[in-house]
Amino acid sequence: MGWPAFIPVTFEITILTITVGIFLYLLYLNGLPLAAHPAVLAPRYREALVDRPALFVYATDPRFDPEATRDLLRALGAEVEEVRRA
Amino acid sequence: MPERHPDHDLIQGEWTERSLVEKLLEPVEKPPPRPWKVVAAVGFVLTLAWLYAIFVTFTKGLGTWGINQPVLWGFDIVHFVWWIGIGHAGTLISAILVLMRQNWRDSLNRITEAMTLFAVLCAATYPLIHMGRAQHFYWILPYPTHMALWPQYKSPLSWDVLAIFTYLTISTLFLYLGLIPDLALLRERSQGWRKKLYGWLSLGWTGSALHWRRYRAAYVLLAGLATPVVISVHSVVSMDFAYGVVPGWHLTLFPPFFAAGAIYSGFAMALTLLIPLRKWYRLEGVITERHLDWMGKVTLASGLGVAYTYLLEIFIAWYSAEPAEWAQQLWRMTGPYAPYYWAMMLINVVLLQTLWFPRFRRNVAWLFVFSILANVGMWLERFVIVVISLSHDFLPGNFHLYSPTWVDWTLFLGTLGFFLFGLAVLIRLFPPSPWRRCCTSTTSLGSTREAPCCTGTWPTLTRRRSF
Repeated sequence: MGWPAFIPVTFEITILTITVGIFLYLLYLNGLPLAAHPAVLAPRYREALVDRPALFVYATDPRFDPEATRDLLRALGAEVEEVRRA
Repeated sequence: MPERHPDHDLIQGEWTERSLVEKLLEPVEKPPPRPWKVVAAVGFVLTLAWLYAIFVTFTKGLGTWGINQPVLWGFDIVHFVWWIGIGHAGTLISAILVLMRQNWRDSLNRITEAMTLFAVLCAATYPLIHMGRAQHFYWILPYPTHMALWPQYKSPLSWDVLAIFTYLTISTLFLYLGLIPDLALLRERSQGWRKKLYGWLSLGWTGSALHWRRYRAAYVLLAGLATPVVISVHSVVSMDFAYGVVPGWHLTLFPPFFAAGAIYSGFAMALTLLIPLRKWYRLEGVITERHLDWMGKVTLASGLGVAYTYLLEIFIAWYSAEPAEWAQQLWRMTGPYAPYYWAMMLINVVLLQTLWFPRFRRNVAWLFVFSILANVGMWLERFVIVVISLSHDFLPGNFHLYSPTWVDWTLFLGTLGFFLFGLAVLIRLFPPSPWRRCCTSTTSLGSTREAPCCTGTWPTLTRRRSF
């Protein structure tokens, strides 16, 4: 009946694998690591990182219309900037 | 009129989100204050001395240490346990206080996590150089080998290896995960090699709202998983002793005793570091006297657990009716090491009681003095447990006193130096307090309070790749 002696190691390995797994899965879900996101090219990106709200609209959407999007956002009182992949 | 910072009830002064960020990034972006240079220089010199002492140990052997028969565990294990204990405040603050929604931990968690990392690194070196055949250190790990070697998993020493390795990994992940948003901001604000370093380390974090949501979920999951680990690590360390039949070690109350002692010494070391740090960097508005007061309360609570065990140890030594146990207790109280024992009792039992009184607890100078005393007291406790117990086992013919050599002392001062140097470098590279406070705390995780600062992130309209 030696099994209780194996519990500490089982416990530690379980936690170790789950923790590393959660961390890696978080990176995977968020698409990280990523070399550069086009959003960082926006001149006021730095402020958005701190305390300004910002909305990023991807052009890859098949229904994306640059003119209509710009007009809509301007009508709502936003500053609109177009950033292109460098 | 800019809005007040959402955590204004936890910090002091009129801060906005932006002014707080500027303040918290100062240690990284502005030239360091003079005390920083002194600490870094002293730490660096001591680190070199430490490397020299390790070199002497490796070239001349363990005979250069003060260990003898029967005191085979001397300063090395005293300091191993001491450092591991200090390493407990970080993950306690990151994990347990997150789960308990103690949002004041947000001001403190970065610096205490860094403290944990370096304390555990310092601790881990002691068993490695104590092995005698340090070149074969990897034999303690389970790996397929042609010699069919396998660690003895019924031994607490093997549990220790995995407990500490797990703890080190989780603490590092916690520290790193908390740093990622800060690194992204620093990446946008810095130039040259710093921009490259932060760029690599931030992994391309964009600050998207969706990312933040997953990030917070992951953070709480990690906190939940790290909580039992915090308790388990020092419990496992205590079993290194409790499994032995040495009088003074063979006690079932060791795991809770060590866990309480670890939290106590960890908070003491955190106070020792935070009180000068907040003064040097003028962070009094972020690490307020209320924070120190709360830390004093945790120190008192965990210290009372320690004091209770000291008194219980005396009772059990008598109640066990085991002559060797009782002789050990008398040896501690009246033998040649008695001053160490009574100094420990004075600090950890008597002086600790001052923290009951707000007059003392809210006196920053006394809190600082007491935190240093508590570090000394916990060092004495480890000395009492490891060295005094071993020096007085069963047969009087075997009794032998222990006296450390200069190598032992240099190894100790060297780890202190490495600890200070490492923290100094870390503060220079990474902000000592996370600027995105409410997002990493649980206020934004299902409680009634909204997290206004999280509105400043990027909601995305379309899913592109995994954004």
